[in-house]
Amino acid sequence: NRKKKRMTAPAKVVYFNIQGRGEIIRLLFEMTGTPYENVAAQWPAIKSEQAFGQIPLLEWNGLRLNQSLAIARHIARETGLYGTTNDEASRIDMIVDGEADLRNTYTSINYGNDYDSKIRHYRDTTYPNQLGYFEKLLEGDWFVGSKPSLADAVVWNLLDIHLKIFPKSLDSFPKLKSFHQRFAEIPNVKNYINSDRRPTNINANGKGMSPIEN
Amino acid sequence: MARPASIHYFNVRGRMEVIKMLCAYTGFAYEHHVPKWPEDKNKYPFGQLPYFENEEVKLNQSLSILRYIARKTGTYGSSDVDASRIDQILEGIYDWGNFYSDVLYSRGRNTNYDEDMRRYGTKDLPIKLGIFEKFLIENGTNYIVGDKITCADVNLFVVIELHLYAFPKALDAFPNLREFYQRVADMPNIKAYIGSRRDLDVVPLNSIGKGQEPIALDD
Repeated sequence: NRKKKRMTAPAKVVYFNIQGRGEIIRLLFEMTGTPYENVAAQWPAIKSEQAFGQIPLLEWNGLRLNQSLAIARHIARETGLYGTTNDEASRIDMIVDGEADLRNTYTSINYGNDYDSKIRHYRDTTYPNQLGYFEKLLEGDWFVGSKPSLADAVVWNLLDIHLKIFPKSLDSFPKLKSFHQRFAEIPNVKNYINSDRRPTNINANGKGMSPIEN
Repeated sequence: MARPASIHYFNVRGRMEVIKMLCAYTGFAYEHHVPKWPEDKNKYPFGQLPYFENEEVKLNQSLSILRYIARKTGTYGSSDVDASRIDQILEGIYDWGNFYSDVLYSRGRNTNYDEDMRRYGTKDLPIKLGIFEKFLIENGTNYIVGDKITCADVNLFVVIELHLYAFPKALDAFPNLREFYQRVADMPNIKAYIGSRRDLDVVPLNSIGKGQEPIALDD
């Protein structure tokens, strides 16, 4: 008798072909070896179908979810990246929320007015100030518990996009610097970032790709 | 008896109000401590408030605190899927709250408070409310997720209440939200908490006292 394995369709991630707010979703699936499909969004055709008029959208096992962080938390729950205790889950939440605030600042500067002066002020004050908190919160190899979690993925993603414009940004943060390297060496992650599955462009307006030195 | 949890925040409603409302609804005990600011800033994980501490955790970030209390009090839904739907609502409300804050604090492209508030109340607010009216209708249970009250309902209630000071007629066009709002407001623990709250001249909505007076809208 042949046992028939119940197949569930891979998750669908509907987004633009940029890293943006979709990258954390791809990273989580890749890191855990969970099958998923990138679906290039028909935009703005599908806008009115989205709960908040925005993407990314996740479709997985009959669930439709918008909001990148809700999607990220969902994947983390499904794939064991949310810690093992209430305490760990809350610390993960705090780091995810902290990263989100900093990402919102980066995003509003990236797409806003006065980019040239705001990005430099951000490079010299806001970003390093906030990195100081993350440096302090990193007490071991990983942010929470003894193995990589959702918290590590979000912070790594943030650090990585910032290194494109601020290549020296981790020089004063030795723990974050070695964390960035350590996470990138995780076999599934290393495989992903060296593949063509990872979008080249970070933002929809093409900004954020090269160093801002002076 | 264990010491109640300690929540540190300024003496305004702000980002703590949703936490206080959930604690009131669930009977979760806490003490509100007002730190010296900015002297105490670096005592906190992200140098911010609100902050929550008990024997188990030390947390910054209002939504993380809300989720922690929700997990402890059974108000995070009945399943992982519910939890994810709740997260979607929490994140959507967070974005909405930030959008409104930018208007209140005249940040970003906002430069003229009265004009910006009028535009927000006429154009943006109905869109935001429409999103949550739709969620309520689609869920079909009188709650925003699942079939019993969750932290997402409390969060929705608080963000609506915040808006009603400046936009008292905001719910006129949204019958489901209106009915939801009234039902939550009438729940005994919520009603008692609201009744015991200090007036806005003692504990304002935010640090600049904006958003407390009705705004005349464009017709």
